Amino acid sequence: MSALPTPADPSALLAGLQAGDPNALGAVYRAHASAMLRSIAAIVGDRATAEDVLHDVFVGLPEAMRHYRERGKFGAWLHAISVRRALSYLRKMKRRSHLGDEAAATVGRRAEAERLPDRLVVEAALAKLSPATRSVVVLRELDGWPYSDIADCLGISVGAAMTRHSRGLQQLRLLLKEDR
Amino acid sequence: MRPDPHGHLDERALLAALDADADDGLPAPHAAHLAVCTPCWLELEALRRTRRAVRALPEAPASPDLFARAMASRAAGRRVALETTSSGRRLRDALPWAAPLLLAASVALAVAVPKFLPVLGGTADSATVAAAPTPDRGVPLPAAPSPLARLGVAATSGRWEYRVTTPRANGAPNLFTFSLERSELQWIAVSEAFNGGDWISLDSTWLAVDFRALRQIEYRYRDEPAASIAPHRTVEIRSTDMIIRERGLPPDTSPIGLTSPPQPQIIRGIAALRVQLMRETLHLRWTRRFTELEPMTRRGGLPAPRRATVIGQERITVPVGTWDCWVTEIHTGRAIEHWWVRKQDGVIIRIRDGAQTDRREMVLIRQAVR
Repeated sequence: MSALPTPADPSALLAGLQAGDPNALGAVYRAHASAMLRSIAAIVGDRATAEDVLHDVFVGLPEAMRHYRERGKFGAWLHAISVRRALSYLRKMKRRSHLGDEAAATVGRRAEAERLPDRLVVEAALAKLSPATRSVVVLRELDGWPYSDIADCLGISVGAAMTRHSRGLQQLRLLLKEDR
Repeated sequence: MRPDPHGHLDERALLAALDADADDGLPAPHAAHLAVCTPCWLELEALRRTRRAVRALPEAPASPDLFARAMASRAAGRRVALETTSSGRRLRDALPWAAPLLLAASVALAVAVPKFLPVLGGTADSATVAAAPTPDRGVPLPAAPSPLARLGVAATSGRWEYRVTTPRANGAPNLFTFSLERSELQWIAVSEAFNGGDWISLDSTWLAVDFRALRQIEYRYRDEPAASIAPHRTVEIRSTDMIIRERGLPPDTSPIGLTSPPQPQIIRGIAALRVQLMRETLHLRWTRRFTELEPMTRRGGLPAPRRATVIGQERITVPVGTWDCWVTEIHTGRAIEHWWVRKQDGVIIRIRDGAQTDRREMVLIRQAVR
């Protein structure tokens, strides 16, 4: 097993990732996994599923590295992969059943029925947005991406990203107002 | 700022005002309006509260156990094919001909393939395959094993490299390469790679077509791991079974299993064009409607009606050489494209569309055949 890569040696880190070196993968996991998990959870709507998605990302990362080009920030590229994986999961679930909607409704009902901490109220409100809208809101608000990167990641136009963001915020505002 | 009919800020303007909080201050027109309009100010404040609430969501610490599970999955041989670029838009925007070219390449080859298909009356010697009489200018041939190689089928490989110039790229050329493999059997595999200078990563597509049965056998977009290739389906192509039996290969070595849903439109498109192009070789003019699937879309393909007409012949010169070509006019519904298809082997030499002042052009600049 190779030596633990350090931030001062990014080429070794990338080489380690491509080779599937657990040390390199671990370094990336420690640096990025928590932020990725937060975004994935906000998109898929629950922590357990988000962990499954994150698990898959790290299982597939070494092979995916073949497509990585050192032109942008690695963290942003990695984040984009995890977002796509989350959206892919939602699409599959939607095809199989309406579990996503049911889960969102359950969270919503729970939020309405109980006096929840703010975090859960916000998560419940996010879960009520459509996946397409939610992903834009998450990438913009939680991850601070520029619209151009969001558009690129989701395969939509910049204008569409702005529109979804605006409408998503408006919907969230109303949902959070209802929960107060 | 675009006020709505009632004089208030619209949603885009409110968004701009919201984003201005994090940037370099509120644009003057927005600030002026917000200074006097209480409803808009209240709306903006509500959005700010919403933003603060969302941004206050804490990071969820990812547990070491989860990482350990992922590593255990890898150690057990599990692989996951991740989507590393957005599904098509970037590619399609940057290179609108990617999908049509892929189809066109297979269509064009359909003209050449019968020359070396015994079943269609050609020669079985793959060494005689329509190799263009041009020097190898050093274009690297694909190193990765292809479906053909995995089948153990002798094949002729080639790589053709194009320069693509689009108005969108401000006249700066993109480079587009793809490789083809042709065998004495009825297989053709197409892969592609893009090098857009500073904007795009490597990508790949495999398309395998059985021209005798006129059916698409395999379509794979991006680099799916071998483990995800479905087991061979004997019902698909009978001749495939013959190959496997003759060579004593175990059935599961076949790369021919369908890894994506069948795409009948693209199959019909290929079949229709092929048959009609063959007529053209007998000097019969033709016009044919067909449906092409643009495979570079997230949902698996957009049916795109096409009407193709061979409108004549022309000898043209491109950086690689001078050849006699069929000139085919393709009506896509939105535009008219012209393809110059080399007579001797069906390789596309040039594609043009758009008006003179807004023209996209793709030209063969290098090639290598072995």
